[in-house]
Parts: sequence; C-alpha cells; structure tokens
Amino acid sequence: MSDAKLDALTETLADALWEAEQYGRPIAPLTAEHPDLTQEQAYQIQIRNIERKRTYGDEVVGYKVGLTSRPMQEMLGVHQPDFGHLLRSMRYGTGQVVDFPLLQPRVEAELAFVLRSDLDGRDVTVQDVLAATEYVLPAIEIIDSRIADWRIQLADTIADNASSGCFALGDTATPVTGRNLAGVGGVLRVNGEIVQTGAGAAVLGHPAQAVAWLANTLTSLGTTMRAGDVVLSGAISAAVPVRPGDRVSVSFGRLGRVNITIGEPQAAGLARVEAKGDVLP
Amino acid sequence: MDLRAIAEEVWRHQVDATEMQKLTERYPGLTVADAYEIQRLNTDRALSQGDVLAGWKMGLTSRAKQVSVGVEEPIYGRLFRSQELTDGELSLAGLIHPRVEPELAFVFKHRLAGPQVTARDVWLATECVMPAVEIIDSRYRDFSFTLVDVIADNASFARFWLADQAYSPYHCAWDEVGVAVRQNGEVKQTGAGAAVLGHPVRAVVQLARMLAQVGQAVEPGMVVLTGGITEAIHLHRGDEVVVDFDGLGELRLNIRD
Repeated sequence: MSDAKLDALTETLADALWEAEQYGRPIAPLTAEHPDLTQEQAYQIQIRNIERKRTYGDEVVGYKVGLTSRPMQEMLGVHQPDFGHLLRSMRYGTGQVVDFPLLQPRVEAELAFVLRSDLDGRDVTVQDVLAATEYVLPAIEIIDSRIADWRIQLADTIADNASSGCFALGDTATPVTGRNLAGVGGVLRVNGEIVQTGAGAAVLGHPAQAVAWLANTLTSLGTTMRAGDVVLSGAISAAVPVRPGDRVSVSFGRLGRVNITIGEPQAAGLARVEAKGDVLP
Repeated sequence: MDLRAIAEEVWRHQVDATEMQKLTERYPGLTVADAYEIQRLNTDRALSQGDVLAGWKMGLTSRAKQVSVGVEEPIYGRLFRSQELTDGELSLAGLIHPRVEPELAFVFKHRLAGPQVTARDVWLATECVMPAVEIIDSRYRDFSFTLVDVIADNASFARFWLADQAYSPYHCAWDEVGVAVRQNGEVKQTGAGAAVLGHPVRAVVQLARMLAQVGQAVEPGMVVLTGGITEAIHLHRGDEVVVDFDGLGELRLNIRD
C-alpha cells in the first residue's frame, strides 16, 4: 500500500471508532475487514483520535498501560503490553458519580504513578521509574470498548485507545520509598461484594515494570513522559463488568482506597454531543 | 444407605490415590449431614491407625467458589498430622491431580467453640498466624463434584505446609496482605487476604460455629487453614512454586515424583 493509501485507511478507521464513540454504537472489529492491520497503524489511528479530541480542547494528562498480565497477553496472543492516552475528560475523583458515556464498561483495580520528573531515554529500568515517581495513588480504571462484544484483536484495542473508558484516582498519595509495590494487595468490590483480589506482582511482576516499558516505548516513538503525568500501570486482577448504578470500590490497604458510582444510562453519545454542540465531525 | 460402606470406599480412594465416580450420582439421597458423617467416620479410622488430628481447613470461602457450587456458606475438612509437610519437598506419590493454594493459617492456644463465637473470641484464642500452603486433591474424576461429594472427600484436603515464621495475630491487617504465586518464575496468581470471606478471621468464626452444631471445637494447638487466597494452580513434576506473602516471607515448593 502506498503512504497515501495507508493514510486514507487510518483516517477511515479512526473515523469509524470516533463515530462509534460519539453515537454510542459499537462497531465490528477493525481487524475483521483489515486482518493485516499492524500495531503501528493501530497506534496511528489511536493518535489521530487523541489529536482530534485535543483540537476540541481536551488535554493529555498521562497514559495507561494495558495487557500487563500473562492471561490477557495469552488471550490476545501477544508478549508485551500496549498503551493508551489518558485525557482530562476521562478523569474522576473518589466519591464521584461517573457520568462518562460508557458502552460496555468493566472495572479494574490499579496503582497510578504520578511522575515528579520527566522519564526519558532508552533502557529505563524499574529503579529509574521509582526514582522519577512522586507518589502512587489507588485507582479504578473503567475500561470500555467501541468494538462490539469486546471481540478485540491486538490492533483493535490499540486503535481504540487501548480500550480506555475513564478512570478515578484516590486521594491517598504514597511515596514509593520503602514500599514493595509487587507485594501490595488490592481488593475490588462491586456493590460491597468482593469480586476480585490481587497483588502488584500481577502487573508484569512489578507495577513499575509497566511504567518502564511505557517510557521505553514512548521514547522509541519520539515522545516523553513528563513530570506530573499520571500512569495507570495495569490491572492487578481480571476486569469485572459493571452496570449503571453499581458502586465500585478499590482498596489497596495502607495505600488507600477509591470509590465511584457508575452513572445512570444517559442520553448516549450523540445527544450528549449535540447538547454540547461542538464535537460531531 | 450404609454410610460406613461409603466411607470405606472414599477412604480406599484417598489411600490408593485413585479417581472415583461422584457419590451423589450413585447415592442421590446423600445429604450434607451424611457427608460430614462420612468425613467423621474416616477421621475415626485415621485416628485408630495412629494419625493425629492437626486441625481444620475451611473451603469454599470465596464468593465465586460458593456460587460455582451453589452454596451460601463455606465447608470444613480435617487436617491430619501425617499429611503435614516439614519442608518444601512435595512428592506426587499418593496424589491424583493436586493443586496448591496460598492460605493464612491460625494456630490456637485456647479452645474455641460455641454457636456465638465472634472475631474477638478468635483473636483471644489465637497464638499466632502463619503463611501457609494447602495442597488440595479431589478424589473425584476431573476434580468435578457437588457440595455433598466434596464434604465426604474431606473438602479435597491433601497436604499442608506452614511457614517457619509465625506472627502475632495483631501483626498486620490480614485482609490486606497481598499474595503472589509464581510457578517456574512466572506469576500465575495474585490475591489479597480479603478474598477469604472479606477477612480470614471470618472463616475461623464460621468454622467455630459450624463445629458447635456437631459438638466439636478448635482445640489448643490446632491449626486452622482459613481458605484459598487465590485460585489453586495445577502442580506438575519438576515445578518450582514460590508463594510470596507481602512482608511475611515466602514458601518455596519443589514438586517431585
């Protein structure tokens, strides 16, 4: 394929995902029609839509690392994680009702890293990440897919911003010094019932390993993580489907807790967008 | 129904490490009470042959497992001294399709019994808490069973091993302890103590109350395995399994013939 044709393809597929999100209507996997879609093209699609959101005033506040557990990697037949962008519009705080337009949401317990300094360069190690981390926060990631029934291949999820929905951060900030983040236990509850437990080691053996992978990957793509960026390091357990009205909480023991309520179904993307009057292409 | 004959059959399969058909397929009228009676009959048999009752184990302590078997409460089984490992060398001899799961063990200094036992009573009676692993092994074909079957089969108990280091019951919040299970270097399972009924102490409370109904108790010196913190993982010859309890140390198992 020529560069122009490739460009046209990524634009078409980016538009398809954009519309799926705006209209609240999941679409068939991109890879169903384009089985040869590469990781690189998929990231181009992701970045196109992130850029589009930025032109509407949104802002990148960090990244999420996905596919950090062996079961997830095996499910998609890959040997490394992927990443997505976190936008200001996706961010919630503890105690809030999440009114983000969600299609088929699932929740995960994660540790969020907040950087004190830029994390640049190749061969970034776990130690580099710890040295660059201001603190960690307990987090709930609400993952979502614009692909119908979550029938995703690797390229589908990458193009779809690594199946991001939104995220909520707790208020307890803990410096990483003297903490074994691999050992930290986490508990995910939905409506008061424990649905998953896990420990930091579920994330590539150590959550900072995911952040190191991200730093190295971004560097190879010509980008750098900046001081203040938030990084969701990856789920410590399997994701759990949720519905409007569900109360979700994550507890990381002494590292704190975070809780949210999934909002009632709203006028889906389209009406919301029309009400705002500025987002539809 | 001749519970003694059924108990004899279960015992045979436990001793010979051979798979059996589900009891409930052949004796559809078998009740939970019958199943516990079968378990008790086989305990008498073990004790008469010189074994010692080392304590109790709790099973079906996670909501997910209770749902999968269709019950609302956990089950219990008996721990025997002859099945306690003293080091991390686990022989597959005498096992059918063993799995391992990480647990917290409570060791008792005072008797604990009664229908009204609370968490407070458990703490007062507890000498120490120890990281532990339990090897479970169902005598049923394909590890497939109903509630009644698994109770009759001593709640799938096979072996147990406690860490060398013991901790005061007030050492930490046991529901927050993170646990990672590595098999041959790869993280296979992670969990936190809360996976056990929200807090492992609740498993002991439930046990004491269930035992009270049948005139039994947790006696001084006994061990209680409170229930799996993660899903159990399959064991194979040559495996090295390392179970890491956050800040409490690790247990390292080597699986051999």
